[in-house]
Amino acid sequence: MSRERNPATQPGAPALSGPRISRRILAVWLPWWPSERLARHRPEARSRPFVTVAERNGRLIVDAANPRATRAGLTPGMPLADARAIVPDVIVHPADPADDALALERLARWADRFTPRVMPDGTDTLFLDIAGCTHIFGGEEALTASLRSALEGFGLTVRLALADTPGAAWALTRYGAEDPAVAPSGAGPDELKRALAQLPVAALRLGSDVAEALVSFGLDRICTLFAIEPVELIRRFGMEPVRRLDQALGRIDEPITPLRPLPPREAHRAFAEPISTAADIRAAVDGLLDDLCGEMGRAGEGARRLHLVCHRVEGDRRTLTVGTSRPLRRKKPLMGLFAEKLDQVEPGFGIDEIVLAADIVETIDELQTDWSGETPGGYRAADEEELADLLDRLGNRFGFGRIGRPVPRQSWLPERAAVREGLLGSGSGMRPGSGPHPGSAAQPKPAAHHAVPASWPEDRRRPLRLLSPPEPVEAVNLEPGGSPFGFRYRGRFRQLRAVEGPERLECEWWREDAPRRDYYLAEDEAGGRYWLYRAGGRDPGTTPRPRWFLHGVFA
Amino acid sequence: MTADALRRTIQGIEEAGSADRPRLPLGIPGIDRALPGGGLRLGGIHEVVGDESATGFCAALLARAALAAGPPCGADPGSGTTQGARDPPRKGHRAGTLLWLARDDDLYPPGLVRYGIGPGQLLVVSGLRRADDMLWAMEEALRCRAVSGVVAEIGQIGLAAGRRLMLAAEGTGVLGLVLSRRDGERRRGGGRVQVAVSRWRVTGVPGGHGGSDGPETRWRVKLRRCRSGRPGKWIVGWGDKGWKALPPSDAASGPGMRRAG
Repeated sequence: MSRERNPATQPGAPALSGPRISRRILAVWLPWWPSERLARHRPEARSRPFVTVAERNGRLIVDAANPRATRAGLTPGMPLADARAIVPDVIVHPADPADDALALERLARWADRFTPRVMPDGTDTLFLDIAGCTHIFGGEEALTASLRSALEGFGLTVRLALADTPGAAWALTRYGAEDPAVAPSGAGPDELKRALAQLPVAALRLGSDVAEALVSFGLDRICTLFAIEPVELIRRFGMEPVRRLDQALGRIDEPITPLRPLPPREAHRAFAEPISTAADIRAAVDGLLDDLCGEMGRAGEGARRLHLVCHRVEGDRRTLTVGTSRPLRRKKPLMGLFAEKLDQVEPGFGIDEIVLAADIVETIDELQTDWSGETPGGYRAADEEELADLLDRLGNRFGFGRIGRPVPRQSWLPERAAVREGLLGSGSGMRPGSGPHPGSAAQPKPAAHHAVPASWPEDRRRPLRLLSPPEPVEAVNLEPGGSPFGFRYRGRFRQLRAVEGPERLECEWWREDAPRRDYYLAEDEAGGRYWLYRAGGRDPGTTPRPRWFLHGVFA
Repeated sequence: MTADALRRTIQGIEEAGSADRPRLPLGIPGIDRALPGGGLRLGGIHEVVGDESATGFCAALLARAALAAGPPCGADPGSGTTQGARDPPRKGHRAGTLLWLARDDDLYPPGLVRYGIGPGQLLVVSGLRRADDMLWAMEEALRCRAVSGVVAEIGQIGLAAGRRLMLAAEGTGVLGLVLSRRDGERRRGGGRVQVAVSRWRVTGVPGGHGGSDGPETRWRVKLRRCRSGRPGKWIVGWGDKGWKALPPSDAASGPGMRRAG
């Protein structure tokens, strides 16, 4: 394998990783990352020597230094005591590598305004795959310049390099003659070899021990490695130099793994002048929707969820998310969903870029309609669409969990007999705290019960309003176990003039904790109709004193 | 004849061209005669005030609106039976979707079956406690042609907001009901939807019979105000065959329900 890839024996050997996808990697090296990122929040640390220290073997050792400290002779690895001897007023801050990494990740997320494919590498590097994104910014050069000025605005020192492989770009940031160093686009391994030939071997991202070993053999420049058989290199120095060289030359693939999954569909708008008025934002969203809907239309798809990410001049972002109950790619309803929320975008000092991404897309099943616009079911497709649009608007404002279509559920317990069928495909409990869904209809039933009906009983009256939970009431009944005569509820005694019942409802046998209930339909003198029940009481085994509850109110 | 012609002319002037709007007959001849055009005006908002009986009244009106709007689904529109419950709608079948904008979460759908709203026919949005949420949701619903009726549980609607709702409803012909839930016997007055086409008060009346043949649910239905209609009072009984007007003397009399043993 390695022989086959060896340029000495087979010049210009094709890549082995299948058809090449064109890539353009912009490497961002932040040489003073730990100190400069901390100095952002400590202005005094920018103009004075500043080091971070970590404890090693019981001693405080300088971990990172800023440019001023470095010029004064403070280098990483030096004991803090020595550093203080050289620069007595050095500013010291504890090193926090985990926080450094987190901050680098945040920076990478910020950088996804330039391309969605951003990956932090190591402790101080970002790789941006800018292939296909440059035209938005006016070309490679303009993009690079805009990234540089933004990063320098954050107080960071940067070195940039452009190449077709991450390895070559990495090497050029560290050892390139100019900044930004640019390797020609579309270059094959031979051209990349010329670009990297004169750089030291350490530019290949080698461990310091490997690099030192190579140098001690006189292999100090990358070009010296080209003449040696890979087999020989592997035998003496392990796989690393060969692998790194192949990566740098693009002979083996090195993927960029973006921080966030790439949305299937995306549209961008960058603004030369930051926008901040509501009308401008609206117009921009309108244009983005045009782009995105057109793209989805060609693919026969529709969006189920859309994110609108507004990058603000301050460097942060505002995100609006809308969901739909079915795949959608018509612009008007989507615009309507966003219009409800656009006032939540606080433009601040302005928005310089807006990204509209559909991260959940589905294929749209087109409804076949006949000449009158009706579907085979006899319903107008336009009506279906209009209803779905309404539900989407309601769902996005109030939350889809609050909208539902009540459908019957197989349970004798009144509070469990209705379940709300959600719009997003999953049913949620009609009432909170009603417990998990009981087993299916296939659950065995006690012999005394016949099958629980799948629809609501029509022959038995059910209240229009159900109290949840049932309210305890004081009921008066003449004989124990008999029907009530009157009850006290909310401080007022209600004399009952007519009572119908009882209707005994028992819960499923696997819920042993709840007692049986005897329900009565009762009407008081004023015309109020109530659904009362007595819990327990008749059987000696259950609660000694029956308790009465008001469970619902009839019309 | 002359009086009728005059009445129609006045109605035409009052309603400014909306006299030929579709109407929703209630199916109770006495009440329909009191309403201009023989029924509730579709594409307008109507106010219903009262205790739980008002909820039932709204449910019955919604069910009629769905039957009038949707393709026939086997039920006789005149009888107000609960055919929809026996014959669950086919998938995608929305014989006029109904929307209930609920303030709380206490509406119990199995109880609606009796008034003709079958499973799956109704969409409920619950927990709309803020008035502006409720108004927004109602306006959106009234603008949607696929909805045939919407109930909003809101106490009062101001003049400007009410006009907006009226305009929305007039464009589509959706029946809008504003349900103001209050204890009718204690708080008189009530109901503050100035722009409503008609304003009703519905309260429960004692006097239901037992058994399955006689009417058990009785309401005192009062039409308090109606544009070019005649206010009036009726006792309405709801039985297994739908509703019908009862002679006033029949109210609060008759044998009580069967006493349970």
